[in-house]
Amino acid sequence: MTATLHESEEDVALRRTVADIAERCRSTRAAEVDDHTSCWGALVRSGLTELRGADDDGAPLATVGQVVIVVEEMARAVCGAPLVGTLLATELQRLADVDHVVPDEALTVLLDQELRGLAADDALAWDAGVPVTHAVGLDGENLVVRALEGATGSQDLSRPVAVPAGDAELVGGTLDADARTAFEAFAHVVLAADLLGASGAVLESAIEYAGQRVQFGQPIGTFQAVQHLCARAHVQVEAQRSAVLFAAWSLDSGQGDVVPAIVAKAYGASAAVEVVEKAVQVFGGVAITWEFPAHRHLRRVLLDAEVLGNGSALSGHLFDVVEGRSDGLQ
Amino acid sequence: MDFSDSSEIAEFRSGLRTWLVDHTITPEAEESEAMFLKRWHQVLFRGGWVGLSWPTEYGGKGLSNAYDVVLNEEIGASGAPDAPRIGYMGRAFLQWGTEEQRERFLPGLLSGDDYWCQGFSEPNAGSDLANLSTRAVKDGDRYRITGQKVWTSYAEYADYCILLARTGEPGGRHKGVSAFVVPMKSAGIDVRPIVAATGESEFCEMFFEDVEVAEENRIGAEGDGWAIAMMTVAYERGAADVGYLSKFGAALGELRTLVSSDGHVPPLARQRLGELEVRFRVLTEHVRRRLTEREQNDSLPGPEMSVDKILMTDVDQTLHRAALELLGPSVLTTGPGSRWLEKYIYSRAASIYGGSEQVQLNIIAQRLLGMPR
Repeated sequence: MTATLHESEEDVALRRTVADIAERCRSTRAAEVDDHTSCWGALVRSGLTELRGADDDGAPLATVGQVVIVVEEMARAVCGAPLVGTLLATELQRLADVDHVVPDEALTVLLDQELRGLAADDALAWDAGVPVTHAVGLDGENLVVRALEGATGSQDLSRPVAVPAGDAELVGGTLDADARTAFEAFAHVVLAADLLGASGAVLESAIEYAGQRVQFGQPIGTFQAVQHLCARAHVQVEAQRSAVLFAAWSLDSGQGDVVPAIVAKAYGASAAVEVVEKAVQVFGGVAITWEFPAHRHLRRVLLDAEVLGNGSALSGHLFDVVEGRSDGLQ
Repeated sequence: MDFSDSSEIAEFRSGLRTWLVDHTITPEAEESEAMFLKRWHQVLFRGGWVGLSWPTEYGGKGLSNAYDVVLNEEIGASGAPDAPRIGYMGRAFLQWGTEEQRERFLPGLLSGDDYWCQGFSEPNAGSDLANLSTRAVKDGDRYRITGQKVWTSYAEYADYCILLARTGEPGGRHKGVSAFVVPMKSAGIDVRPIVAATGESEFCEMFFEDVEVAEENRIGAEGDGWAIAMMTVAYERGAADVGYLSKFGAALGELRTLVSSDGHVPPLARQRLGELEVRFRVLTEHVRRRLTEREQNDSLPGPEMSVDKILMTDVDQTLHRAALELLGPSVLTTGPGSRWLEKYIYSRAASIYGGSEQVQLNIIAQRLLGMPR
């Protein structure tokens, strides 16, 4: 539909593999049953939950660019397999130079109650759907792990949160300020890709719907008012894509520039919500029903937008970084 | 995925940065904006910074168009005057022009010695450009052109005009439109500057009364004019192609300095400036992606540039509106020549010129998204 940057053959194949998993998720999901265990199984079998595991030299197995492809495709289906939480937990362990702190268990990350950053106490585990049992967090510079009670659900129906049950245990890894910045940059790009996928997919189906839904004797997609709504939203999707691709490339190029990652998340946090709102408007009343998936996209992007800093917080942070005031003023 | 960055580009960037420190110019007393920008264009050209992505045989540098973004970024960051707006003008010669036309016109365009304007819009052909009615009638080895153009930027200073005129039947819409190079000193051209709401006069009206133009000044064949116009406006919608990235970067930098001049930035201003920074950077990244795609696909710009135009306009208008709020009422209570107010008013034209916002949204909906007509 739209020109985009060339992807390598490997990346094209990766995207196809993940799109197949996402498509199965979409087509088999019963309206009110959020069982994504088979999606999780497919992701594990394809090695996609371990993309940011460390190779022998401690380098990640896959690039951020590849992670972005996987996350975007799964987000298009608003799949509830805890992929993003797992990717973040794996990246965190890799950066802290530890490996599989709880062998054979799926992990996510521990965030403070406001979801603004990694935490250890008074924390909750985000993206804690089945089969996640533990979460890694940060106590000062020390990596900790905590076992979780059962997931308690959240307004993002596909991504339950869970509260820790056990005490925080030190796992031997530490994260200095630079590594923490690197983790946050990675997380921002992953969340921006999630926002892109969840918003882009629902817009595409709204546009398709506008070509079929007839009112006043013609498809509503012929009306300029509807066309302009969709066109505006498309601009926001394309801008999100540019920001995500650039941020991923910046991290992969190893120049250590984290600004594009902050930009991608800050922009996506507001743009994605607006895109889904516009799609809801195009769908009309049906989008406000429980059985129709539009609200799942809306819930997903609303919560994504808050994780590790919303658009407002990150914009202020970016100003400080640009002005060279990042250490101090908040 | 590749944004075509490299050590060569990094070297180019640092060379340019150093050069800008010593060579940036400021307007002379009584110097018009147009003449100032022309002088700056020439200074840049002598420094070797113009026509970066143009073929070397016509005075360009033959580099990838990623260099155009770097030029825009560095000029913007340094606060120097805008990068020349020539990236779109004259691209038609590369695609449709004869070798003789390229050799005759392109070097002067790139060097800034010749000033060019673009005669597309007419009183009854604005958003509906295909309604244009200026006539070009064949008369032996020349054409006689009669009609009226409007909103022509800097026509009063221009040496040449790329003009659209109808060679086919009246009312033929997209068919029968041809493109010409018209020397502005030709007999029968009357240029009348329009005083804009900013107080400046960039836009002009042009009246053509039986103006003779040699056949060799036609670009492409008769009837190629519509395709030439569409490619030209597609380039014109790219923020690096028209040098606007540099303009926004400089404005944002200046605004940041003004707001934080007393060392204290109120929380609301901090967040507002951060949001503008996000929007500006997303635009820059988007432009880099577009130019990389153009390079990878060896393609000419098309309807996707309407996405770029919307993004560019949004940044322009959001930035300049925010500036009025951040700088406070003094911008409005000072006498004539309030620069930030002029910039703000000019930004309101951004969603009108080069294809209105509503035309861009139509193009996106119908040609990119395939929505039904």
